[in-house]
Amino acid sequence: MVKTILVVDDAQFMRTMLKKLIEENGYEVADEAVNGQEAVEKYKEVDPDLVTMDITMPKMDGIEAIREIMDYDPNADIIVCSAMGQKPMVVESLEVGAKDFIVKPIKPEKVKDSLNNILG
Amino acid sequence: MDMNDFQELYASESREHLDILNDALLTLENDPENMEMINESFRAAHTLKGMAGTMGFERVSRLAHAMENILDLLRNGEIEVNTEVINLLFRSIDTLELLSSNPDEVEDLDELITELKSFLEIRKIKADNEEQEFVSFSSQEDVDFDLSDDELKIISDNPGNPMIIRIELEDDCVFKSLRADMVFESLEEYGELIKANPAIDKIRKEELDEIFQILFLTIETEEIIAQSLNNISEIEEIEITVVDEIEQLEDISQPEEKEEDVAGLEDNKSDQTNSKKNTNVKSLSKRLKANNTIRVDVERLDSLMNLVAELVIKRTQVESVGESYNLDELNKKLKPLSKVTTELQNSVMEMRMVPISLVFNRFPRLVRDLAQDLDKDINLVIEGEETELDRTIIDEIGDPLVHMVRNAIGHGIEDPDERERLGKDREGLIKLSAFHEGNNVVIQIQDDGQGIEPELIKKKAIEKGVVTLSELESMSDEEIINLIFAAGFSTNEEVNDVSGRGVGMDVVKNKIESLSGSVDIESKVGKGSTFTMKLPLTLSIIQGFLIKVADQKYVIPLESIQEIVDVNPDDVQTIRQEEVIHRRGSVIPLISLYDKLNKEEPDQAKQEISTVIVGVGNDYYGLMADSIIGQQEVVIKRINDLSGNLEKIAGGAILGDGSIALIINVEEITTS
Repeated sequence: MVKTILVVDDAQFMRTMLKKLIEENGYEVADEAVNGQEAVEKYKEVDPDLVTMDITMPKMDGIEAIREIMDYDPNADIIVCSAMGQKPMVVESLEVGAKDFIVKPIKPEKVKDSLNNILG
Repeated sequence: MDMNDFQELYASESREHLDILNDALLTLENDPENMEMINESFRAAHTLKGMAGTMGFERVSRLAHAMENILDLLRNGEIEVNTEVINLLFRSIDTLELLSSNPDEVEDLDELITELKSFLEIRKIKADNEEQEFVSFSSQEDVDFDLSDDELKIISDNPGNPMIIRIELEDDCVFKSLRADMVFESLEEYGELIKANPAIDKIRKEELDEIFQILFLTIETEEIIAQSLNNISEIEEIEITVVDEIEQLEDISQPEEKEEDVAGLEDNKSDQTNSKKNTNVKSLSKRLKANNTIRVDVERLDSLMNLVAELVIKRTQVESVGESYNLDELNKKLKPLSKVTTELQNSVMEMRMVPISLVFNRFPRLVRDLAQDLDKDINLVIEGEETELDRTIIDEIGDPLVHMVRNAIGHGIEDPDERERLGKDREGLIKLSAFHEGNNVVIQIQDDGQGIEPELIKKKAIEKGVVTLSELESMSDEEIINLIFAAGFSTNEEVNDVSGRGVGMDVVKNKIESLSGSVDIESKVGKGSTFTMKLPLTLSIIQGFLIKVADQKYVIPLESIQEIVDVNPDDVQTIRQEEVIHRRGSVIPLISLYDKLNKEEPDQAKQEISTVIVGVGNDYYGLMADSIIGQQEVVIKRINDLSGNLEKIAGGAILGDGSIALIINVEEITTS
């Protein structure tokens, strides 16, 4: 079965870009969320195989969302999408349960590797 | 992946983020403690940086990054909001805007980034002068582990094989230390980390190149270890060497380190006091929800619109066949079809509608800047920014609106001291509002400034030769004030860079009229002025009444029609050589379309005169036609006015039978 991914980012641009990369690599986008709160809700709703999670978002940031998702599903696979200069946040994300991180500006190859590493 | 696919998306979304930044900064300027706005602007800059970086727009990305750094300090409370930093950020936004519209015109980008950085540096050094600069570390290809006795003891006392794991990260890996950490974490499940080169604490401080090595003690085979590391991203190469003899490890040398002196930056404490704010701009603008929307190129919508328009024409053609041959069955079947096409048309039209906030949003910033330049206190109130208008119109009204708002600030609103002397609020009010009125959208710009003095206008109008003295005598004050829209008229004593710009109000008027709209002014001396623009909701399809004059069909837009009457020639009176009729207590002048459209009038007198009564402003006129055909929806086709004689015609329309009707420009035909 095709693995599904929940894409979380407040920028539509990023979501579209990730979606394209996800589909190019043979996975499917289960849904998209624009903030942490929505991410948690949608995670429960669509039960994806993987989540790509932005950090800086309105309402609820990515770290808090990872925490809540991990609370709900300790086996959740989450890749955090950070920007350069957000190292402390990435460390925190990994501590609270993210499996991997990718750094913006995202590079197609890196996204592919990261997805395949976790889902492949 | 082709980045061009994302160009459009990038353009529109980055536009949104720039608007957010602008709005947030405006709010911050008046409410420096507003954390929400700081966070919001930080996020916007952050997102912009990421998007631009992904698109390869290096200049935008660099500038956004520099802004983000400053906003980050604001966010952490390390610096406070003051005019200096706000102005710097506004300049950055302007440059970002320019970078996306006219990148070639951006000349001082490096200068600006340096300025942002030095702003940052000064604060940062002040906040934390112990922070060390990054010290580069040269990795060595040779295996170099300086083992202590304790470490050697661990190796000899524990079961398993020591192995040296050499990891090479991808050279564009950003957080190398994090990858190394992930490697360490993964390894710890299988054995003991004895030592790393560079040392683990150095690695944690990002003091490493792509390559690092780990001395690892495990009972597992090298295959299993290699596999356990396979799932970590950004690893270029893993090389595992099993060490047979401990002695091999003892022959080692201390790795070299290079220390660099960190140049001490002088603490240039600059003046951070909040300067007096002389603007208070309130923006009530709501942002478009990013959710549940898709973005479509306007051109695609235009082409869809044209297709729908064609469909309407074709439908009308089929309908006319049904009517001329009395095909009842066909007519019946066509009814639902016409319902569908009408709905389709409405939907497409709705899609083209965008909120006027797209235009209004630029005003808070504009007003702020102008008020600052002119030392005036302005309170800008925006109302009805959710009012929707056709995209084409939105694109066109920006400049006229800017011109009028500039005028209102430059000439309308008095200096604060002057206002106080007059017993007014020091703060001048400018109200920008939009609302629906029938098939029109009305946009108003109100100010509570000094108003327009009719006597000054009269003097100027005579000077400029716009009117003659005798013409002036019969004019009301309102008509006189509206003379400022006349070609060649400008009330400016001198052209300044605020309201001058070499564009007169006549240009504004022409622009609005080219959009089938109208504009007029009401003004009371000492109280202020109101500019009112009326614009059609949409441009392409109108409801009209088809009439016939000299065997040619004409369309009168339904929105100007008051009523349609058959006038008995006996009821027509002549007052001051003008033919008029009395209708519900008012005198309505009759206008001969033959005359206005340069047609030869037939001699024979008619029993009844089909007359369309139209309203223009507060006046009514009766347009006399040969016959009235009926109401019809028509698609406006632009006519290129090559001859310059077409001002009485607003456009052309193709009718159901394929013939062409001309759309009458009611305003022109009644006033000229």
